[in-house]
Amino acid sequence: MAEQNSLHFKTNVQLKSIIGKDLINDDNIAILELVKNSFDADAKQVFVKYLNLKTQNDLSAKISNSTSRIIIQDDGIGMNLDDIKDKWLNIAFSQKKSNTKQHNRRMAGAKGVGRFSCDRLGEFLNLYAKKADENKYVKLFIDWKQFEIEDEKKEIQAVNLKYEELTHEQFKKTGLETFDHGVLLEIIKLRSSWVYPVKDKNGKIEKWNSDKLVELKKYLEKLINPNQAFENDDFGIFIDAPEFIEENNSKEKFERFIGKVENRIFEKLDFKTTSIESKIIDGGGIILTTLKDKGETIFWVKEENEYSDSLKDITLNLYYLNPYAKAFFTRQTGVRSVDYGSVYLFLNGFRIPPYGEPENDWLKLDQRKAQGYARFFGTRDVVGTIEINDNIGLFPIVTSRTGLVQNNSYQSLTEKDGFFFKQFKRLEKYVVDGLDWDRIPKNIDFQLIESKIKSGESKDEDLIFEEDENSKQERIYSTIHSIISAKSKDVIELYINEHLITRKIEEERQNSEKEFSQLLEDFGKKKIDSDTLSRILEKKAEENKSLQKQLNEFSKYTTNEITSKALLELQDYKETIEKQSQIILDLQQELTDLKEKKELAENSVKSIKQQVKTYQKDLSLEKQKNQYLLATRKTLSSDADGLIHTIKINNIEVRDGLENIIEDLTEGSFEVQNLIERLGFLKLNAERSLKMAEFATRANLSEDIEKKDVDVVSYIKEYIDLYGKTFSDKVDFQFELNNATLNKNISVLNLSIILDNLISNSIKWNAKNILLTFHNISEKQLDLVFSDDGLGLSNDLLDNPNCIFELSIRNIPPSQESGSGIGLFYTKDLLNEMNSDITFLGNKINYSGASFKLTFETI
Amino acid sequence: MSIKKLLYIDDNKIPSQIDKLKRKLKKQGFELDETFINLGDEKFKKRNEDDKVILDKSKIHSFIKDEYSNEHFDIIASDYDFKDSYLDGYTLLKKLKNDSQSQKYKFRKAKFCLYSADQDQAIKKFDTPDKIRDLIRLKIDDFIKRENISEELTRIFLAPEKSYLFKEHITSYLEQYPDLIFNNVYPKFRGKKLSEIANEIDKDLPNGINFQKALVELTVAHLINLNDFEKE
Repeated sequence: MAEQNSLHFKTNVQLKSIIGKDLINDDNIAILELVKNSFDADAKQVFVKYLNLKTQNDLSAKISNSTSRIIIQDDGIGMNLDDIKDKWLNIAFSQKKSNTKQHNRRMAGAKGVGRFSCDRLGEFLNLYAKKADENKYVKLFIDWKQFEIEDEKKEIQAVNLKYEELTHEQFKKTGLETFDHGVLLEIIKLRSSWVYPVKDKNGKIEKWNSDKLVELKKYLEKLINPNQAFENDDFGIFIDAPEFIEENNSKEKFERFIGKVENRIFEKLDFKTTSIESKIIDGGGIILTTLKDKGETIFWVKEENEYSDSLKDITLNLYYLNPYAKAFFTRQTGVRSVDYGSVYLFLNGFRIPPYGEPENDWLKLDQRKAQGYARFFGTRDVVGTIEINDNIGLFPIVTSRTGLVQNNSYQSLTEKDGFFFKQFKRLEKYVVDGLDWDRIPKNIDFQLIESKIKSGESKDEDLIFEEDENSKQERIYSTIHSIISAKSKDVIELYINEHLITRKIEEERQNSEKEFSQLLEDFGKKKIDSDTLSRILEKKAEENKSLQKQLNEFSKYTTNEITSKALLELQDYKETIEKQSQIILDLQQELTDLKEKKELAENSVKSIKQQVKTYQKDLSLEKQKNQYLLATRKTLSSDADGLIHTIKINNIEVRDGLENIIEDLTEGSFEVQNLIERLGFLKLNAERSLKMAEFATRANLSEDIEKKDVDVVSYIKEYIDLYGKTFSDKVDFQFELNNATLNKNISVLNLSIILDNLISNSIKWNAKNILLTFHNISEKQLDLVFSDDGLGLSNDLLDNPNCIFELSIRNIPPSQESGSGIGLFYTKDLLNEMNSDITFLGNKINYSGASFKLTFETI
Repeated sequence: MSIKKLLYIDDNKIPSQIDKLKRKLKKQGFELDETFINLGDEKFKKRNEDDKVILDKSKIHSFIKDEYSNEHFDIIASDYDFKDSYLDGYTLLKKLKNDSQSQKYKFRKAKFCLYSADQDQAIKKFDTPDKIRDLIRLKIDDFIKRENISEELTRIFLAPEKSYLFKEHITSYLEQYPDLIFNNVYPKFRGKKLSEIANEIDKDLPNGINFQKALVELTVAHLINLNDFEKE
């Protein structure tokens, strides 16, 4: 087995530059790193003091009192010689790695390389440190150039660093202010020009440009979490540059760089904007989110933390800036909100650059907005902070100090269904759907108002919005659940602004009560109809439905006491609505009953009138009947004019018809069929005359015997009752009237002949019983089925039974009693003339014999 | 065989009488083309406000107008008594005759006759001077006893014309060649069918009247020219 040898890394002297001035390439970051070290050392104050910037003699190789300097001095716990040896000089050692919290603070630094920021800032360093329990100060001097040699063999630890221990008196001689505990870094011969002179054309210095100092102040301001690390004002950063007091004082307030670095940006925004604050509390188990609008809490919700594995102690504050708020922002901070940035991330009290800086869209808000401009916020619409307190290393910082490592926790925080967007979308939905972007009216001169806000002339109460509060609140209320957008199973407790819940119902309650009392009054005065009540009922039903929906929505969540109380009011109002609905229903029923009673009365009047009419008609028919059929014999009088008229027409036809036939017979030019037809017609006329003679002996006939309004059913019944037996003693008539009736203008003469024809036809076919069945098919149509128990239609005609109504067809009865053969032909003809008809229905329909259907129609 | 056209209006069928009329005319060399308007038909009836069935004047008027206003009839005859409280044959004929004159119906040249089975009763209705005046003004061509319809109508059909009517003569001539196109002499009628010209004359339209005048002038001029020709 070969001998095992060992090798080890060497730390070349140039490591210093890699982790120092080359790594930390921004002066502001360098200052920050050093300030963080003070913070971690439990300092209450840290002073950053610039000296000899105007009068420096940095061109000289030697250090003197007038060489440029930055002094960073804190009142932290300080270090003794051992601390310096074992910790400060121990590269990459950081107590913060093993002990993330000390002195009751979360550690801001973590890498153990922050101290090399001194290299970034200046060529030389004097470190003075003292612990409270030590008498002496330790002074360490570093000339960073000692490390800047290209010698591959020279290791970093080979560079000797001089230190000395100073007594109080000795320290005083340095010209620095003594301190009981803490660290003082005297960075000498600055590498960057923090100020530079502005010269006129003669080379004479006109003024000093101190913008870089202003930048530093602003940078540090942003670094400082307004809420988190420096609670109770227990950590202050102070910048001082005694040479520049004049320049500083001549600047606008927010441009001044000497003094305490403070971040008060969000302090007042709270009262002018819409904001959402979301905190992960209870050791990471619960998220408490509060949405406020212009100082008033709209809702808060306690939910289970669905990201509890990766997100523990985070506070998110987001502020929506409407145009007015943007102007106020500028007034307070001196920068336009767009130049300020958007959502900053603070880890353990210190900012993580570049997150949130202008142009930095680390949350991809602008990218998202580009996909849905009108509905989404971009970086210009919100400012805010995400504050992370992390003592278990969930959020490591990348070594270059620019951002966090994009691990699981980072994803849970920033991805689109992560913690940030969950709250961001709530704010967005509230502003977009609820406030409709809090628009300002188009017709106002916004620029004027903006300038007044910036100059402090305009106050909150001067602001004018396009929409009034009521409209906004109504919309907010209607969308509140979708704004909260919480899974009911996750919600532990919910509060919704009680005024928001009850405002609408209070207004509606007033209207409703007013409307309802008016309704009752109108009902009393009979000024309201059923339709109006239906409409009001519909409205109430809708209202009820909407309230039920609201209650259902709320019932999904556990609400806090105040919200529950408001919901009780909602429930109470719903019950009122239901009660009102019931009363309206009762009123409607009452109205319906009244209407029915009225209709009943009207119908009964109508029916009585109809009855009177019917009685009058019956009376008239009865009278006619008496006149026609029951009157005693009498001689013809002038009343019989009508009868004479008809007889005359009839006989003229008979006369002329016979003349024509005689002529034809004489000339021998005739057709038998035609002759039969014409003779049939004459026979019919003869029958009519006979019938008239019969009537004439019985009645005082009016002239309209050929045009008479009769009830067909009554007439037929009466006609058969009186004349039926005259055909044969052996025949009986039955009627099924079925309440049928048909008022028809008719020739009763022809109708009588039709009945005669049908009855005599039945008798010829051995009928003993005849049944007449009446049915109204409609108000204007009547069917009469005429059935007998005779022999029925001969079988040989059954295939085409209706041919019996033709003139050429004869169906000879068994009695051999020869008929003229024209009876049924003229029966049909006469019926057709009166817009009626006859058909053969069949044998054995009602009785064993034939059945005919007569259909009468009237106008 | 010449055709005689009859339109008769009655609420009874009178086929035997019409048959008799036909025979009579046939013997004189005429054929009868008759049209019967049967007022017994329910399409001419309605119920009044007392629910009583009566004749519907407007239905009858518009039926006749629609169906027959453009037809020629030699005689239009009507029964007097329709057994209706509101309409009789005289009232109906009066309306038809007046309308046909004012509306230039083709049948306006027909002879208008009334007939009745009971003239005594009918005449009783004309019991005021105004009614008599109306009757005279209406110029009814005849009032016939019902039992004599065939004889009387035959007589009227065959009665010689009492006067010569140039207009009627010329229109009947033109209508013998209805589709011939007229081209010369009278520019306003160039391109018109003879039947169209006959219509203009028949309706007494200005061009129809002027055309007749021009025709007379041309004919007379032509005759004068012919005189010269004969001399040669």
